Amino acid sequence: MDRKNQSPQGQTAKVVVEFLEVAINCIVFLKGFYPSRAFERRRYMNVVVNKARHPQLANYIHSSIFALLPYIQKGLVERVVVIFYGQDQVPLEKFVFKLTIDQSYQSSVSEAELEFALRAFLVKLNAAGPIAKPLPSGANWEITAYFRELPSQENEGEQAKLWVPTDTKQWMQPSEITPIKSMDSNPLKVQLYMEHPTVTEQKV
Amino acid sequence: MSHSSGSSSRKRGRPSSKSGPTNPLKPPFFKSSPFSDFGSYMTEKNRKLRDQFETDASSSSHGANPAITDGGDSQGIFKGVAIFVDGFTVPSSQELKNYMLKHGGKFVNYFSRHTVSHIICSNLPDSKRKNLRAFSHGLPVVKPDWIVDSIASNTLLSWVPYQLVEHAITETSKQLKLSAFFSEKGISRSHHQGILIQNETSLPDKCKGESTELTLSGADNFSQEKSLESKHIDTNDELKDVKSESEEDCSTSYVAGQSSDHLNRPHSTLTDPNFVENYFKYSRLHFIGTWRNRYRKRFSNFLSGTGSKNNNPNNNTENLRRIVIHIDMDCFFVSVVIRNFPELLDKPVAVCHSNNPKGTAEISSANYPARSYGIKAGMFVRDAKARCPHLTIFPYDFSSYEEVADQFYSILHKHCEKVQAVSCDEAFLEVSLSLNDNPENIAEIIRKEIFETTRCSASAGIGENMLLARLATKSAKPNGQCFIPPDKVNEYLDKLPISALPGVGYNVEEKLRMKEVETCGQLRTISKDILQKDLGSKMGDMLWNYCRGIDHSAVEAVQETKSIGAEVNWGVRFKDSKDSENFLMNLCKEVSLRLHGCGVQGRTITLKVKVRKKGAGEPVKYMGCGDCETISRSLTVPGSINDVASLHRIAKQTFASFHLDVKEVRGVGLKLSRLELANPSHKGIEEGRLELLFSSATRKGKQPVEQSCSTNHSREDAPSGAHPSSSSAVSQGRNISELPPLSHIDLDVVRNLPSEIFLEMNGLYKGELRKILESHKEKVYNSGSIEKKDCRQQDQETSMRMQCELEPSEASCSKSNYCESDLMPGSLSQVDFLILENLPDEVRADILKQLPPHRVENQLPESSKSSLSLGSHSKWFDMLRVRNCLLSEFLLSSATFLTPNINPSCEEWDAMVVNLCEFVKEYVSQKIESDIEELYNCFRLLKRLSTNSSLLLELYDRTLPFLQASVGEHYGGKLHL
Repeated sequence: MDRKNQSPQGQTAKVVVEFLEVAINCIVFLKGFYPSRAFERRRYMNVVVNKARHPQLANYIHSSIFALLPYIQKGLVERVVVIFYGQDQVPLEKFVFKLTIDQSYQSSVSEAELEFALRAFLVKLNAAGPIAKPLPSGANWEITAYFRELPSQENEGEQAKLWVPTDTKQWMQPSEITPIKSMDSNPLKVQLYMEHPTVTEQKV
Repeated sequence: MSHSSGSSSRKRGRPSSKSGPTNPLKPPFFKSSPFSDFGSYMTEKNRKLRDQFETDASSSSHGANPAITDGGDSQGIFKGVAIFVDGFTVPSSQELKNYMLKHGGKFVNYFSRHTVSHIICSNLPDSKRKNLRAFSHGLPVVKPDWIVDSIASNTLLSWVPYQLVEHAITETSKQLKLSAFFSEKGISRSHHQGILIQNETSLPDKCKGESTELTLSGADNFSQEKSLESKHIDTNDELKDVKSESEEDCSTSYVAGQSSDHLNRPHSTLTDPNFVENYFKYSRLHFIGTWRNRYRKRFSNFLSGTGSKNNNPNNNTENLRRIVIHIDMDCFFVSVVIRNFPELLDKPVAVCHSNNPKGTAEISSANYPARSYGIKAGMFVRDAKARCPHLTIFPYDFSSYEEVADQFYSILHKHCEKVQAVSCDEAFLEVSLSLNDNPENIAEIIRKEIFETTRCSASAGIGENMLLARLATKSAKPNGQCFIPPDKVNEYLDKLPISALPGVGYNVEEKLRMKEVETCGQLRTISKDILQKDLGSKMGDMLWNYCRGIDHSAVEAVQETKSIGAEVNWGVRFKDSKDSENFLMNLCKEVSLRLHGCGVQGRTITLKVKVRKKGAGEPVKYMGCGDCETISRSLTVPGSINDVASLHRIAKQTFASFHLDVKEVRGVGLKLSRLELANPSHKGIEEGRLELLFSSATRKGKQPVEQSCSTNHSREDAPSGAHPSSSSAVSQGRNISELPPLSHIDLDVVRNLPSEIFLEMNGLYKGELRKILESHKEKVYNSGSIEKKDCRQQDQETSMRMQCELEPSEASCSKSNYCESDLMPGSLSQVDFLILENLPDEVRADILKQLPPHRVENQLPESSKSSLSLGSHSKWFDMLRVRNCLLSEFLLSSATFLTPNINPSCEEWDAMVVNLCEFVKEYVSQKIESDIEELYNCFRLLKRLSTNSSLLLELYDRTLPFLQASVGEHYGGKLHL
């Protein structure tokens, strides 16, 4: 892999990580997982977003996402998923960010353009409430990242070691996908979609 | 010869009286002036020696001519040959020089890569022998006999048989054999002669330069006259059939050191279109690798019956002990062949592809009498013959091997229920014996029966577990058996060298040797922790157990195939990405065939690529992989696959993600794991679909020029500052996926927007939009060059192949078409679209009819909506493909027009539906990775619109399965429509 030109990827990765943090805050707010007063209205990329006020929650989202930075930079992270699951650890709903960063992209990144594209996500995400399903009591959530390959242990910093294997259960059948937003602006491709279990699976 | 650098030219060499007069080239100032440096001195010296030699040659041939009866012919036999004599030779270098003088050759005093064609020497010191390439620079190193014999026969003989070391052959001969091998099997012997003749006839005519070229690339530590089959065997050392349950890695790498380039050689991925196929076709290792499938098919009834039979004895008696017997046929490949020649039983026999006593085909198996001469597998035939001149060599006989292997396993299954097949000639048996039984008896019986049936002997090792059984077999061979009773285990292991343990390779051995551990006894003194620390947890654990005779692995009757794949590490040379793509395609075909053969599909696709290490030269081994770095990446898809198209797509993606220079690629392997049994019904559908897509894609690729020509100037993309317009030249179907959002904006749509929204958008684009609208004509003119640039950029980014040579023509097409149509008066471009669009359908149709027919024809793509209502479907289809807009936007904007007034049953309608389906599928496959939102919108729209259009309903029904399959493949789910 060509690592010489890290700057466009690194630059992009930083924007992505920041964006993910905001977006995940929004998702958690959207799901009504915590009382709405646990969030405060902020402005990000000129869009009104909700940010968690509770330091622990904010820190969880922040640290887990920022721990992904080196991997996103290298294009190792395929998906970042916010999973909501019921008491039995079976996912009920997933918000999937599918990331593709073109590692061979050479020219510099226009940050304004990235923001322009990412802003649409936030707008759509804020309006995605009706697609989301209400959560049962005792539900839980987590941030999961799917790696293209397992990162090697040696050359990563302390932060990278925060990640642990997930034990979230898989659905038995292919999920139902509802796209929320896709963007394709070099070198970054992001797709946000929701996954729900199929109707048959829900009955089981 | 002694040189003093300061002396004048006159002092060196012969008296000037001999050389002076016949030396017109010599610059006069050299005679008086001392040399500026050693280099110029040597140049001058070499030149002078050459001149002297030439003078001598002319004089000596004059003198010699009368003596030699066939005068004229003798002169030229060494024409084009320049020898350099190294060290002591018989005949001496002086004599050799005279021979060269007489027979038209050249004699070079000081070695130079460029002037010398052959190096003559009788002996080589060991260091030079080991590092021959450095010494010879790729030139042939030949014994002086070559010259003597050539003179005796009065022709220039091929130097090949006279090589000093078994290393160099001419590239030509190797090539011939290689290509011959791939066209026909088993005629290598006749080729040797053919090559010899060719060399004889061609060499004399060739000038020196050519002969050096011939020989320089041929040098190769491995082989002289390496016959094709043998070539193949050793290539197969690198070839790994990954069709095994273990995922161990045993990659072979070769020391690099060859400087010649192989790009123009035949037989490699470059030249042989069926390279992959052939590669696996004639392979012994492949035979062994695929043998398991045969075995499984044949003995499946035994395997399935195992469970029920096994339970009974186990339940009945507690007194049983588990004993593992390891049975291995003695030199299987040889003994099977010679069972019909009893007289050869105690004579040395080997199996090899070629029986050329001078050849360097590698022996694949040798029987014990032969081994007593020191003949081992992997040895060159010539060496073997040197050690044992009466060695008999047989070729392979694959059908007999299969027959014997089948018999072998029939016997094993008869005697034992639990058989684990290791290879075609090797198996583990697990037997339960009561304490009193001697396990040696049953082994004896089995071995006897094997011998009676197959007339080949087998050896057996008996132990408490698989490890001990396997170790015991080693001491049992040949034709014997060995039992390691539990109380003797430690005693046996104490002296055992660690390299005898399975899984201990060179690296581990080397590491342990540093700790002065060479036997299992010594190994036992090291604690498990230290072992695990030094060698990794798995290896350490394993070694700790093994040196104590502990092996927990159980004899398993059926071993599940965990992965299936194919890897080629030899002969891989790509010139450009097209080559690599072809190669990937073939590799995918091969893997797909194997998957189909086993009836499985896989979910994880691992692509492994060997890349030439930086600074590594050409490998010593001809076409080998040399010193390589191995990169591998796996990708798990949600749905298992086994068809060529999916494999190829994923392999291509993964390959592209490495961002390699394809010229550096030396090996590619593709492997599928996480195997599942194939579901034939599902597979059928998917395959059909993908095939359709594939064929349509290739067909489109072939006729883009016509398409673009027929599509006029329909495209007016909004160029933005950062992303210049990418218009019709770019939009060749699949290429648009990478376009930045700004350029997605379709002016048709923009124009139709309500003025408030337009103003807002205009603001977003900082007024750019309005400018564009007004001046899009200029943009199209200017975009010609930008388009091309943009195209290339996209090409790189998407790694999608687009015929670059088409770009200019397309660009010019769009330009010229634009002018043409725009210059026409009364064309639709002068009609205000805003008004036209807002008119009721009937009125618009009327207006369009008012226009002269050819005008309408010309404007069709521009006014896409009207085209439909006028019933020009093919144009519509072409236009859609060329347009660089989002389909959903198009659908939305043209929703009201999508009600064709054609009879659904007529042919035209069918063709249109097929066309549209194809288009939509292509659109899906192009967007699937980057923009499912768009696809989602499209299909939602289609679904909605299909309620009042049978065409769209048909389209929706036909394309939905494809969409869902694609989504399933990429995202592991289905779109919730």
